[in-house]
Amino acid sequence: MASDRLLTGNEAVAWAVARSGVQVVAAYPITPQTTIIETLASLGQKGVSRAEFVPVESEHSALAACIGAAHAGARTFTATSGQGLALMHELIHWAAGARLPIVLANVNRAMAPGWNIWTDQNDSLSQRDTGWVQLYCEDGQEVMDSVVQAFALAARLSLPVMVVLDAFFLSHTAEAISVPEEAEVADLIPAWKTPWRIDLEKPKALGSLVPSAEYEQMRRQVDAAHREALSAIEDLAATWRGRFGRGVGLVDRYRCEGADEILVASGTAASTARAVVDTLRARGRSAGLVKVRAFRPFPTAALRQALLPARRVAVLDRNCSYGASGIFFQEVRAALCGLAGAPPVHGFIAGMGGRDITPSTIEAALGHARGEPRPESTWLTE
Amino acid sequence: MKRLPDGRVVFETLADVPPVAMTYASTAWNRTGDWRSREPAFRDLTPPCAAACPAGQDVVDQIRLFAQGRVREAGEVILSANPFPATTGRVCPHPCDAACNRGRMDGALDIPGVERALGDALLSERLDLPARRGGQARVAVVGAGPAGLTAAHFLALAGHRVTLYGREDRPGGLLRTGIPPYRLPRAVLDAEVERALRPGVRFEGGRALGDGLDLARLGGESDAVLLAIGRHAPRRLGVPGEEARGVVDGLALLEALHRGEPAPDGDRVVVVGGGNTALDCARSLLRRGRKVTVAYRRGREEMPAFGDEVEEAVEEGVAVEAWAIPLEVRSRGGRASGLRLSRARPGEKDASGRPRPEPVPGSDFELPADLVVVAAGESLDAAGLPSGLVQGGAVAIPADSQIAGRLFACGDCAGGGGTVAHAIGAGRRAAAELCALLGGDAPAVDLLAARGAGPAVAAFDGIRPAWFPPAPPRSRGRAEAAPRRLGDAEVRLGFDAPSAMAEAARCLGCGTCTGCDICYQLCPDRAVLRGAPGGYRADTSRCKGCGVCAEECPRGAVELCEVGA
Repeated sequence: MASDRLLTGNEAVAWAVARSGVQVVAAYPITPQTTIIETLASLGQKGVSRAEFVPVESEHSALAACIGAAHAGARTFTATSGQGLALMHELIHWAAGARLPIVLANVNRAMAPGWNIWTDQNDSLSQRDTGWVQLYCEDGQEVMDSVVQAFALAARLSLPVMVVLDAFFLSHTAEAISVPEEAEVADLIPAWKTPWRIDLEKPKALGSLVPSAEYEQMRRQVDAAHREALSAIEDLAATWRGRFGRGVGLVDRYRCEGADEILVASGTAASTARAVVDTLRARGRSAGLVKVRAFRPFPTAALRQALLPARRVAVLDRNCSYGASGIFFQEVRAALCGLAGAPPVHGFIAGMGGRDITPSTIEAALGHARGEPRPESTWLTE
Repeated sequence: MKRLPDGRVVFETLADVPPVAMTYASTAWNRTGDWRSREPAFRDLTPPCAAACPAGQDVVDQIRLFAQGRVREAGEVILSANPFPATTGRVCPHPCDAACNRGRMDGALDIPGVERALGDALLSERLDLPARRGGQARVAVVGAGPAGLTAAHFLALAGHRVTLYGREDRPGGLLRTGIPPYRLPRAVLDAEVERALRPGVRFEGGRALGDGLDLARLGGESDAVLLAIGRHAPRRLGVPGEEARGVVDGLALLEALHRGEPAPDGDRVVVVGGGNTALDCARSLLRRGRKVTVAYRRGREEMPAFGDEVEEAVEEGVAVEAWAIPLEVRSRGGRASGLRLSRARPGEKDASGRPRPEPVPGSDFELPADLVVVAAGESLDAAGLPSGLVQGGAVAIPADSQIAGRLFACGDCAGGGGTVAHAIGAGRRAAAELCALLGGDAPAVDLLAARGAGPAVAAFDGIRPAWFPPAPPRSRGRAEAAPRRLGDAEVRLGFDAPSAMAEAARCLGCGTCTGCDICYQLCPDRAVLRGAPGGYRADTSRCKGCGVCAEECPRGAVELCEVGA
């Protein structure tokens, strides 16, 4: 039976990794991720986790070790943040191109310089186009559930999955979290058996030279796997709800019925947005929230369905694609582009480098959204 | 999906393409080596120790085999260059040690210690080099020191009928008469000399040129004559009063002590000179209860004696009076009573790079001495040599002499480098030269070239210290100083066999492939192939010329070269 434990977000990651039957962990410490691997080490000592820990000298090597282990068929996990994720970048591409079911927990941390260990999403969104599935978490329970589901998705789709959680707001804040037993989730995570798993009985060469047409075909298959992931994420969420009575799939629609103005948010900011929606509803305004949980694959159809009935949409970004706009804003607007009767989409940037996003920040955004939509995001710096 | 004869797979439709780049077929069709503009050359260099060895030993190869416990194989390598390793392990100043690249890491290898242990082990093993044969000439070798012995040994191994003539009753030359037993135990010397003679060298003692041995007659009886008579004529001090009683020559003193004669009278001794003979005299007299001072005209650092000898002498109680130029032997009733000296200071550097001693005016002083030993260097003893053979104080065979082409000279008498190792190297080269004339399997002159090593010296910047775990040198130490003064027991201690092998295992093997497989394992294209003569070769159909093998070779034995260069 699942049991409740008081866990920080990082501890929840570690428990989820242990419950997923992970065999190999290779990681390099970096704040605010470090307590994930520390907890894993401690769980290993207590016999809760059976994972072999591979100490390495850098994040690049951490992911390289995971790639080797995954190729050999081991269930594999790593965790990092900010600069560490950036250092992995080359191998982030490799893991996806080699279609390896690696799970990575990224604790969002602002990119240096200046040095800043607090949260924003520019580190993980810089890995947007690598072929990884990205799931953004709102609270500790969702962290726990997403990590276990990530292993299920990765093995089903032969795609690496990144579970993303906010620094400190989530990584270091403790909540009561229901921790499933391994037996309650083991059947959801299939054994990974593909022709490109290393098999000593059947020698093969991997990663060799590929001509253009064949290369393009391989990339098309990565894209196709992401389309498949859209339904896989929903299916898994449905199974999870049936088994544990909680959780969402690609997006979460909160009080969107008949809503004129809909907020779009991700991560812990979505929790604050929920409170704002409740306040506005209490005041008689028809506000709603769409939380984006899956950013890759991008849930275009689900968003269209959720947002088309609204009169205006305000997208909150804890990130910036410099010279363009907030990244969620770009993608939400693109999802609605050209649809008859689509509502105007307004973009807002707030909370970079861990700055607080308060209810009044979000209310200010909705205030701006009453005006004409702008091509770029508005910085909510006041 | 279609498989081509060369192993490639062609997809007929894109639906056949797997999700990742992989193949069960061979990738050998992809000749990545065609891109290369550089490729590795797997070639050995000359290690700095071997380059520095006056005897021309293949130091690295003999040490490697010894470290692996392959004593007899190591013995064959060392004996093929030097028939006296147990001797040189004790008395050679070992310039190899100063050249050792490991000196720039955690300390130079103790090559003398290893050589001595290997030499001793070979005596217990009673290892002899196999005879090479083929020669049948009659050769006379005059002089039974290290040069003559070495030449006679290799000539006899080549099958020649060799007669070795020595001035003393027993062969050994300066090794026996000039090096005291506390530095070279007689049992070691006897055993090595005996082994050197074993291939069939006939020794005739008590025969010296001008004293029962006639060069012209020898030439008539032999197909070739080799002169290896060394340098043992004393140099005089050249100061007033040196004809007094109680002024003796250093080498003559050592010879007398060797013969078991009592040391000349005199309790207070001043030895003049700074070479090994001077120090050997000083320490030998100290062991006979005398009070000894060594006076040298330059500083202690400039003494030509080996550093260890000076240090050990001082430890034992020999006083050193440096920067002191002898001016006059003072005497009373025809017998020496003291040596007057002038203080000196360092002046301009001379041809040897050492500061010339300049007398300091008004600084004369006197050391009381009833025995003055002059050890100011030795010169050629030309007795019995036709005058045409002596040039500039050394034997030189003129091209137009009657026996030119059949008369040879080697070692100190021919202007050799002055150490035992120089004499051994010269003896071996002379034997090879004679074999070239007379036939017979000559000893290798250049052992490194014989096993394919190039002449360039493996420098430290080619070494990759990260591959070598730190291992500081072992210490052998010396016997306690006080008991040393009481007898002839050996001063320097040796390694036991396991310690010697462990010390040998510290050898980096500079510029020498040891088959460590690092190039083989790190090649990203698996283009380094094992099993080539000398170790490895590049598969040039795969090698992209990345240079990882050359960069990572711990010993600098791989070089990245331009293709076609």
